[in-house]
Amino acid sequence: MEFPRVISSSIRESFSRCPQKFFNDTIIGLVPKGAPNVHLAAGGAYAAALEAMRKEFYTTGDYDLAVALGMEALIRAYGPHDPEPGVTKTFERTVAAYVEHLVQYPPATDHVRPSQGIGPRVEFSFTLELPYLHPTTNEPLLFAGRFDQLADFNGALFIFDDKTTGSLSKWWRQQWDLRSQITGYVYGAQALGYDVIGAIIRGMSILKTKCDTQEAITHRPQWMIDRWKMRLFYDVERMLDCWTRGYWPHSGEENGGCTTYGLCNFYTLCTAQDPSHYIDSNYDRMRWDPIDREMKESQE
Amino acid sequence: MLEAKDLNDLRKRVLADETYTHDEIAAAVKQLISDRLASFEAPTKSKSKAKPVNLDDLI
Repeated sequence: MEFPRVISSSIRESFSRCPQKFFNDTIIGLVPKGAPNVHLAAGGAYAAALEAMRKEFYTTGDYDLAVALGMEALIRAYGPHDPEPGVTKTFERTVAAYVEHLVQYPPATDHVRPSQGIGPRVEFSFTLELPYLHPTTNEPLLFAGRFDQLADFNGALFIFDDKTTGSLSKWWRQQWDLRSQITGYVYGAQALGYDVIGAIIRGMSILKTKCDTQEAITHRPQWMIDRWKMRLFYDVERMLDCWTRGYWPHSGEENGGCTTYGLCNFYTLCTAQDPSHYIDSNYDRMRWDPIDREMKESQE
Repeated sequence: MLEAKDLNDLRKRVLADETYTHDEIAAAVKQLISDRLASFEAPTKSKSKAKPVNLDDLI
C-alpha cells in the first residue's frame, strides 16, 4: 500500500467518485488483467497522433512528414490489440478520427496553434507543491497535470485539450464550463507564470460510420479558480484522513459511480465479502505515475 | 481508395519495425484524406455548385 506522492486530476476524480475505488487503483495499485481498455487505447492513440503531427508541423512546416509521424505514433500507441466485435473504437475508426481532424482542422490554417517557447508548446506539463506532507515520507505532496497544448487563440493564451468520445451529447460544450480538470490546468499554467485566460476543448466523436467534431471555449475567472483550489485542499485532507483511519468508503453505492463509465473495474472486489480472494486472479499490481506518465509495478 | 487491409498491413509492418518509409505513410494518409474529401461530394441532389475541396487546399 502506498499513498500517492503526486495528485493529478484523474487521481482526485477517482477519490471523489468513490474512495474505495481510489483505494484499489491508487493506494493498492490494481489494474484488471487482460487486454488494455479499448476506449483508453483509442483516445491515447488519437492524442499521440496529434501530438506528433503538431510537434513536427509547427517546428519545420513539413506537412508530409508531420502527417506521417502522426500516423506512425497512432499505430504504435494503439498497438496490436483489436477490440471484440461490436466495439466502435477500432484501429480503423481511430485512424478515421485522425484523418477527420486533418480534414476539419488542417494545421496550416488551424485557428488554434501552439504558442512558441523553445519549440511549439505541445504536451505541456506542470508540477506544483501542495501545502501538505506525504503521510509516510514527510515530503511535500505534489499536484501535477498535462494537457495537449498551451495555445494561442485570438491573441490570448489558452489551455488546449483534444478529447475523444462516443457521441457528442447536447450538453457536450457546457460540461467543460465547470470541469475541475480544466480549472486545474488553468491554475497550473498560471502558477508557472503564463497568463492563461481559459481553455479550448476540441471533441472528436468516433462512431461506426462517421466522426463528428465540436469545439468548446471556456473561461476561468479568478473566483472559480479560488473555489477549485479550496475544494482540492478539502479533497487532499479527506484522502489523508482516510489513510489515517484506514477506512475508504464505498461511495459508488450512493452516487451511481459503480456503473457511470461502464462497469467499475472493481465491481468483483466490492461484491465479495472478502475481496482479497479475488485480487491475484483478476488484477495485476500496477499503478499510473502522473509525472512519468507510465504504468509502474506496485508492491504487494 | 485505401482499403482496410492496406491500412492493417502498414500497421503490422510499423509494429514489427519492418521496412516502411515516412513517404509511404504520408502517401497513405493523404489518400485517406482525399477519400474523405471525395465523400463530401457524394450527395448529388443539392443544387449547390460549391467548388469541391481537394487535398491541395488543406496543405
